[in-house]
Amino acid sequence: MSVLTNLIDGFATAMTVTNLAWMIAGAVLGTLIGILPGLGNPAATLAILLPLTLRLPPTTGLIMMAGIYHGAKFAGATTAILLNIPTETSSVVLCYDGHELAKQGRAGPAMGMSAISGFIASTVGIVALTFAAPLAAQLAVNFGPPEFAVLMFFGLLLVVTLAGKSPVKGLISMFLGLLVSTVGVDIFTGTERFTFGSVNLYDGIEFLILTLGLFAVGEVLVNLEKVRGKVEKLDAPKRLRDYLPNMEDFKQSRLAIAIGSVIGFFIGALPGGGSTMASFVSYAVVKNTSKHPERFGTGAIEGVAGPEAANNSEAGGAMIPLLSLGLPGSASTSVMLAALLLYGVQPGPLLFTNHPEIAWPVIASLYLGTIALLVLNLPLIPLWVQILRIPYWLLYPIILILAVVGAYSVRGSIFDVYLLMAFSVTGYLLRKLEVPATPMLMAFVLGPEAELTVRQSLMLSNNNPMIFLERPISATILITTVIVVVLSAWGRRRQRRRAASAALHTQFVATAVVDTVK
Amino acid sequence: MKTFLQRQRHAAALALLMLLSAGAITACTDNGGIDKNGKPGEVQFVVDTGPGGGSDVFARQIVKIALANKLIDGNWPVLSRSQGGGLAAMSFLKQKAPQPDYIAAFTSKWIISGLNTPSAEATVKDLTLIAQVAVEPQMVAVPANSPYKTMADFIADAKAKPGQLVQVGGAYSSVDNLAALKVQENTGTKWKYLSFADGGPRITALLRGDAQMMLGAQTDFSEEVAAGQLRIIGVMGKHRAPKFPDVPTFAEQGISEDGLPDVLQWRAIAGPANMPVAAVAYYRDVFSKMTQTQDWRTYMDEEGLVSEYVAGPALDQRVQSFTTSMTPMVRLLKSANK
Amino acid sequence: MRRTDVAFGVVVTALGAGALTMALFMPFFSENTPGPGFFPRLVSSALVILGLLQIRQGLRPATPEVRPIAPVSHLEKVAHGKAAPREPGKPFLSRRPLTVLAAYIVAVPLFGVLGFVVTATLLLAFLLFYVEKRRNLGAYFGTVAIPIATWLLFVQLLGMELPNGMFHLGVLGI
Repeated sequence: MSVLTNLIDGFATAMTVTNLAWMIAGAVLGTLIGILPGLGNPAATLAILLPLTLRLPPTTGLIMMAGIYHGAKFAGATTAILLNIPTETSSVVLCYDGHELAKQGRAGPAMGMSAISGFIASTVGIVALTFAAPLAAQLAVNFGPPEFAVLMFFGLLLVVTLAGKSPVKGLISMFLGLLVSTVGVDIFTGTERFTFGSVNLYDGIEFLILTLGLFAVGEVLVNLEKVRGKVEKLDAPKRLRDYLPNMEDFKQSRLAIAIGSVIGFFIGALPGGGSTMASFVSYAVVKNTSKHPERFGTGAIEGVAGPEAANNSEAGGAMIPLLSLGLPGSASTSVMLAALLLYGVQPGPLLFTNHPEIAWPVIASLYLGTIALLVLNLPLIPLWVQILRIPYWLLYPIILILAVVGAYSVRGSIFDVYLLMAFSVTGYLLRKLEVPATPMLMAFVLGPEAELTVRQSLMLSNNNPMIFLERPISATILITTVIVVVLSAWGRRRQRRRAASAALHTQFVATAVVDTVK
Repeated sequence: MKTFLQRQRHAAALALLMLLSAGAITACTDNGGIDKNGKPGEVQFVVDTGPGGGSDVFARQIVKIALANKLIDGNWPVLSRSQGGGLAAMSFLKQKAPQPDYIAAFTSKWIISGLNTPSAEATVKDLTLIAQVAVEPQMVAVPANSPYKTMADFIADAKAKPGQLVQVGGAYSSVDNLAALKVQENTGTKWKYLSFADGGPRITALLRGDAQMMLGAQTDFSEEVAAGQLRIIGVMGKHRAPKFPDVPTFAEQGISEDGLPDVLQWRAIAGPANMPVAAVAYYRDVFSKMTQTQDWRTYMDEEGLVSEYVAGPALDQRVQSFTTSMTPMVRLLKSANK
Repeated sequence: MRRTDVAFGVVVTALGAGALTMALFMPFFSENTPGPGFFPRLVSSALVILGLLQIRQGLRPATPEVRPIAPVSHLEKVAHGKAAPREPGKPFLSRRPLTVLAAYIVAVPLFGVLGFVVTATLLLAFLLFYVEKRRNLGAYFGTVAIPIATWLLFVQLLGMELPNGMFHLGVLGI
């Protein structure tokens, strides 16, 4: 149980007054900066605050970074729920149900649930890290291109289930996302694809531009259609209790939190995984395993709890490749690794043996960070929700300006702002045409990984497609996918038949009653 | 008729506005231009990777060393222009010419990107080359349980199994693939190149056995080698790697490196074109002093870089010879792709 | 028949066809593995097929659409999958969003000419005074304060970059 003893030591070191103070300062700074679009993703926030954190001694600095990381994540959830602006990729999913909840006047519970489910998932992550680390490490190394490819395939199938009313429109949205994701230079062959010779498209289209255009600005444009004065200020609840999730919410979200924690941990453990994938897959799985999947998208609290749980346990999972291989599992961990380098500490498999006094407090503080956020931000939620009371005629120009700032700041390129315009138009039109935008976004994220891993796998197997079945892990995932698909299709047929027979039955009963009355 | 309250609020708003404007105006001044000593104003350090990437960390490190040794006055913030593997950074610098307060950390990747993209807005020719500070030896790593003890073993196996073995690396047009293609051409062998976007999956591919070898810098492998998971079997270039004195170079193993430049990867600093001579002299002074500090030597040691300060015509000549050697190889890339 | 759906289908088909044409220039298989053209060809072909399907659906009378893949929300069941009745006389794209969008797009080249602060002020002025017709204190204040505050926050405090204008006056990045 050396992992356990080390972890306990780490907690002891992390919980000194100085360290805790800096962690809380980091959490606050991270939240404030993470609110801003373009800077919201934890890697960028960490990078901005690097000059500050580097002034501190290594352990304290890294603990502060853990606080900043959590602050940025929470800020991402906040803007997604309140304003429908995802400032980082993993909070996109929260827009879907979280913002609906906000529109229904339940922004507080949504944010509270996100913080609390995050806390629960962090705990699960730490426990899993302590006890399952060797197993997960082995799994992580053995997760190669075929395994990733099958996982992506599973993910894309899940995206299709989010299509909703019109499958054709949902599929069109998904394939549009896939098409847009191919823009750029192909890493495998160096060929330019759909770049029209422009250097600006060389590295492809940035995810943030897509989200800001389709979601933030698109939503603004749609809201503007309502007659002036009729766009309600979103309801701010009156009682303090209304600002937090109630027992009913917790009951509904139990399963979602459990699913999210597990999925987040495993995907976080894969080098090349990341919190975006974790939150997407978690949302889709929670939706598909729910008894009432049609509630998702209309303000289901599980739609906030599940992805946020995945988001937070992913941080724990990302420690696994760090522990065993010294490899970062996600962009934000790689910034932390860069900070380690700047401190003169070599990250690698020997990090935990050579510098346990740095490594373990950091892991402990990733967990403490969630607690700090819970304690700090839960009382502040009523304050955050007051943002919604800014009159819309002032709020939406601010959103438009911040969108430009966000788009420009990603790569310092005005071309990106033009792209933002293009996607804003697209987002507006899609909304008018009743085409869901979420499949496009999710396909945009999953697509490149899917294509790359399929090509990598076929290269390894010399074009033999049997590689997906030959390797045990990928075969398992593939078979599970098929089973899930078959089960859900069968379940839907049963549901439809039941609904149809219920309708018939009602009719039958009604005619019988009428007959008896006659 | 406005009430007193309204007038008060108006006045307060106006005052706040004026305060903001005053703050904005005083807080910002365009600090371009140099003082009479040739020292530029607020310097910004452009890099071609995002935060946490190789060049980003390198830039922050040398600024840190320079600050610690009092070679520069204030912090030089790092500016990221990561598109195109140097293309965006080069066109950014071209736009800024001839301002002396922007410098960039450049590597050989920039030259290759320029060669690969005929339509590029700016290439290395549009920059002022200030100084090269270090050279990055490229070496070959294999998993610890691999049957290859030397690079020559790998080549022999590659001859026996044409098109079967796998080298793992980054983008198709990166320097490790170009070098590998040339070695394949020289030795009459052929193997596959598997691309991963991030470093992490590359290492796991090696450990899993999906790939047999990887060509990269010492930092890519050093921790895994120390942990016993990987092994170095060959070094490219004229000299052995200081940290692995037992590992022979390609030349010593009889593997031909004909047509390859002497130095495949370096770390150097460049600035926009037509930089004032005084500014260039200032930068060269800072960097040459930096390469003589103890901090720098420690850093070189950790990273597996070899400190080598080259400036002036010697640097131009090095860049030129790299370009000349690489041009046919980039063409080889494009034809191998058809 | 829903005209907008048909138009959408046409656009998607055209887009797919265009992408397919470009993808045909990319090698499908190179060196025994799927080449750069592999995925784009698949995706653009799918788009062409889906676009045609969409046209066909749009041409049908407004009956419940084909069975959805996923369970459908209760509200949609009640409405039988039909679109909510359009308010009579309402155009497909209303004026206000279009005006805002037009102003937004026009502002983009101005960012490079006049700098972020001036352009943002102009944009805000246009939106608040012309589109929203607000003449109160908050509007005046916000028009000037918000761009300046944004600039101070991002450029001065956080050290990021915002578009600078052509004149290099050194003040507020104009």
